[in-house]
Amino acid sequence: MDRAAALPAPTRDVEQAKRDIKHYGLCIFEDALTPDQLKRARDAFYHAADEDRRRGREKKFGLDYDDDDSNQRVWNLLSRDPIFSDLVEHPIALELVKSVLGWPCLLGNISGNLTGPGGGEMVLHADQIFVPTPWPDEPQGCNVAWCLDDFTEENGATRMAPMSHLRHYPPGEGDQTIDTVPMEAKAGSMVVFESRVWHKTGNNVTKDQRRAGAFAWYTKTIYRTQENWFLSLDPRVRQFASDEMLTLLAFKSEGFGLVNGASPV
Amino acid sequence: MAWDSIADADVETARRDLKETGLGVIRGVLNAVELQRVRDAVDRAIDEDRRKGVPVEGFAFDPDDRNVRLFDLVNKDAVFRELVEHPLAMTMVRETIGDSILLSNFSGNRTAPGSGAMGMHSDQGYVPGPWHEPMAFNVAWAIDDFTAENGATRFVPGSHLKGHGPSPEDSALTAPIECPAGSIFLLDGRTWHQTGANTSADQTRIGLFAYYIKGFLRPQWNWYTTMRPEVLAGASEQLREMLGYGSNPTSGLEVLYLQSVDELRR
Repeated sequence: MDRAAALPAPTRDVEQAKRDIKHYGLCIFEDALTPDQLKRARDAFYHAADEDRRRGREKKFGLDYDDDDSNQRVWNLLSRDPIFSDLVEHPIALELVKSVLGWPCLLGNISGNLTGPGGGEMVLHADQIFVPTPWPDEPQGCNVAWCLDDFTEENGATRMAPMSHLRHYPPGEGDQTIDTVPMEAKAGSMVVFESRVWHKTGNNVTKDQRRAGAFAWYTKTIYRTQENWFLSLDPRVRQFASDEMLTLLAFKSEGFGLVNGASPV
Repeated sequence: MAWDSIADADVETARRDLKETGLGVIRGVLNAVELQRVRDAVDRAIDEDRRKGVPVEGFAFDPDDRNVRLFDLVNKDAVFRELVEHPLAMTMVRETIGDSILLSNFSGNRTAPGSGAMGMHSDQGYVPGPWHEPMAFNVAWAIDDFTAENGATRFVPGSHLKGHGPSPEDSALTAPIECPAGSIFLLDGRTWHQTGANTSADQTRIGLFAYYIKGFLRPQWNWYTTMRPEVLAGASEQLREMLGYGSNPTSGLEVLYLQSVDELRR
C-alpha cells in the first residue's frame, strides 16, 4: 500500500497556492470568505438543503453508495441564492482556476455535498474521469471546494490522495485502498484541486454533526457542462451577470455553442 | 429511404477504408426522388435565410464569399432530421465513436465557381492530443456529384493515424473525395481535410455535413437556445439524446465507473 503524502499547509498567499496546486495537486486557502460571506453562504446552503429534503428532492449522485441516505447532494446552487455567484466569481478562486485551465473556461457545475452522522464514503475518483485515457498532458478541469463548516476527519472531510495527479490516470479497482488524507480545513476556506487528483467524500462518524461543502467545478471549454445552464439557470442570474460570468456559463462563447456562427449573447 | 438497396459489400468496403485511410464512401444511399426532396429543402432554406437576414456567406473560415453555408438544418426541414437519423449513418457513427453521442452541428456547404479551398483541418482539432481514437465523426451527404473540379472535399489518406491535426505549415498530398450525388462519405474526426477549390466554369455542388461527437464534448451548435419547441416535441428519443436532452456522461460518472463500483461492493 502506498503511504499517503502530506497535505500542503493552509496558506493565504496566492502564489504559494499556485505552487501547491502544481506540487500536491491541491491547495488549502484559508479565510477566502469574510465572516459575513461565510454566514450568508452557509445559511443559503442549509436553507436549500432543508427545502430539498422537505420535498424529497435530495437526489443522490452516481458515486454515492445506494444504502447511504445521510449524504445529501444539493444541485444548481447558482440558482438558489446570489451569494453563490460571488463564490463562482471569487477573484482568488478564479485566479487559481485560471492558473490551472487558462481562460476562457466554463463552470461545469456548482453543487453541494452535505454529510450527516453515519454518512458513508464515496468511491475514490478523479473528476476528469470522463476524459479518455491516456489523458492529455494538462488537467482538463479544476474543482474549488468551499468549506461552509469546519471540515474535520470525523465529520466526513473530503479525503484526498495528495500528488496523485502525477500518476496521470484514473484510479481503478486496485487503487481503492490507497492511503488518503482528510482534507481538514476551517469554515471559510477553499480547497482548490485540479481534476486528476484522486479523492472521495469521507465517512461522517460523528453523532450529531453535518458538514456542508459547495463544489464549483470548472473545465476547459471543449467539454459539455454537467449542469445545463441554458435549461436550469434562474434567468435573473444571467440577466445581471458580468461578462466573466456569461463566459463561464457559455452564454458568451467562441468556437462552440454558437448560434448562426455567433455567440448567443 | 433507400437503405435496403445498398449492397453489404459497399458498407464493408467503406468500413475497411475508414479504418485504413480515415475515409469511407457509400454510394446510392439516396435515390433520385429522395435527392430531389433534399435539394428542394436546401433551396428553400437558402431563400428563407436570405429573406430573414441570416448570414449565408462571407464567414471568417472561408477564403471568399462564394461558398454558401447553411446552418441549423435540424430546425429547417423534416428531411434533414431524417438524414441525421438515417439508420446507415447511425450504424456507422455508433461503430466509430460509441453509443454516447451528440450532434455537434448539421450544416450545408454549396461551393460555386471560383470559390477557393478552405484551410486544412481535422474536425476534432480542438481536442488535446495525442489522439488515440476518433472523438468525432462526420457523415457528409453528397447532394450533387462531387468532382475534383467542382470543389469536392479533399483529404489526406491515412492522416487519421498521425495522432494530431495539421499545423499551418503542413502541406500534405490531398485526394479529392469524388462520388456521385446520393452518396455519403464518412470522415474519422482525426482525418485531415478541406473544402476543395471550385475551378469549374458553371457548377455548384451541395454537401450536407452531419457532425457527431462523443457525448462528453461540447457541441459547436447551441441546440438549447435554438431548437423550435414543436420540433423538439416531435423528435425521437434518439434525436433528443443527440441534441443534449438526454443522458450526460460528464455527470453520470457511474456509467464509466459501474464495473469497479460493483466489484467493490462484493
